[in-house]
Amino acid sequence: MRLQGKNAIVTGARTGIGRAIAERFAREGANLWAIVHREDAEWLLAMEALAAECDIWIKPVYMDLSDEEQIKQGMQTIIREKESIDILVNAAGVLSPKRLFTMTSLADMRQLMDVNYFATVLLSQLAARVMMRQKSGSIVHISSVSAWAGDSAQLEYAVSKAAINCATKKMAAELGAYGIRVNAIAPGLIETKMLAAEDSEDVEQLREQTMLKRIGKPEDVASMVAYLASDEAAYVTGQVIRVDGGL
Amino acid sequence: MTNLEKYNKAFCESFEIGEEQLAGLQYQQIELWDSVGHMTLVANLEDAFDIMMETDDIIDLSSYEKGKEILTNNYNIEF
Repeated sequence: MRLQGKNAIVTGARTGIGRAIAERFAREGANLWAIVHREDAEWLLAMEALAAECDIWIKPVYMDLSDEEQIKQGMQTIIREKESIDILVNAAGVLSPKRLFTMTSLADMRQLMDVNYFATVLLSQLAARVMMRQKSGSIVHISSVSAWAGDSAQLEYAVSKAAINCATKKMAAELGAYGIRVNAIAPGLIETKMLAAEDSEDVEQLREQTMLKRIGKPEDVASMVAYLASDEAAYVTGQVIRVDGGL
Repeated sequence: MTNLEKYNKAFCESFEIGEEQLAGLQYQQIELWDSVGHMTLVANLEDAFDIMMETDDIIDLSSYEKGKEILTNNYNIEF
C-alpha cells in the first residue's frame, strides 16, 4: 500500500486512464477527490463500492475543465476541506479529430488547449499553493507520445502534450524548493475510448511497431503513476516517462 | 486577534522580520521577499483569512500597503 494515508486529486476519473488511476490509488490506500465532468449514477455506485472495499474515502468533484471559474470553484471546495493535498494527477484530456492543421479552426485548437493544457496549469497552480504550505507533494501529468509525433494531423493535440512536457520541467524547477515533485507520463497506444475513435488500420500498424507487440492497458499507465506519486519516487522530478510498450 | 494583527503576523512569519520593518516594505526589498517568499506570504495570508487569492492579486501584491488594499477591495477584509 504505497499511498496509504495520502490524499489525491485525480482528474478525468470517470473513464479510461483516469479511472484506472483512481482505482489503483484506492487500492494503494489513497483517499480521492475524483474530478469528473458530470454526474454518473453507475460510476458513483462503483466508486462508493471501491471506497468501502479499500477503506478510504472518494469524493466526486464536478467541473468542466474548459471553464476556468468551475475549476476555481471546484478547487476551492477541496481546499476548504483543510485536508492535505498530497497528490495531483492531471489525467483528463480530449483528443482532436484526425484532421490537418490547415483544416482546423483556431477556435477548435483553443478549445482543446483549454482542457489539455490550461486546465492542467490552473489545477497545478491551485494545488501547488497548498503543497507549498505542506512543503511536500507530487504532481503527475498525463502527456502522450504524440508530443514527439512526426506524422500529419491532430496538430493541436500533439502541441498540447508537448506543452505539458515543457510545463513539467518548468513546474518541477519552480516547485522543487518546496519539496514538490512534478513528473509526466507519456502513454503510447492504450485501450481507451480515445483509441477506439482512431482508424483501426493505423492502430494495428502502430501496435505492430511496439516492441511488446501489444496495445497497453490503462492499468499499465496507472501503475507508473502510482510509483511517481509515491515516496518510492522521492528523488524523481522533472521527468517525462514513456509508457508505450517500446514504441 | 484583529485582522491587522493577522496580516502583520503573516508578513513577519513569512519574512522573519519584526513589525517595525513592515511600513513601506516592498517586494524584493529584502532577501526573503523573493518569488519563493512571495508564495509563502500568499499561503500565510490565505490561511490567516481563509481565502483563495486570485492569480492577478498575487501578482499585484507588491508591497505591505498594497496587500492591505487588495484584501480590503477584493476579499472584504477590513483593517
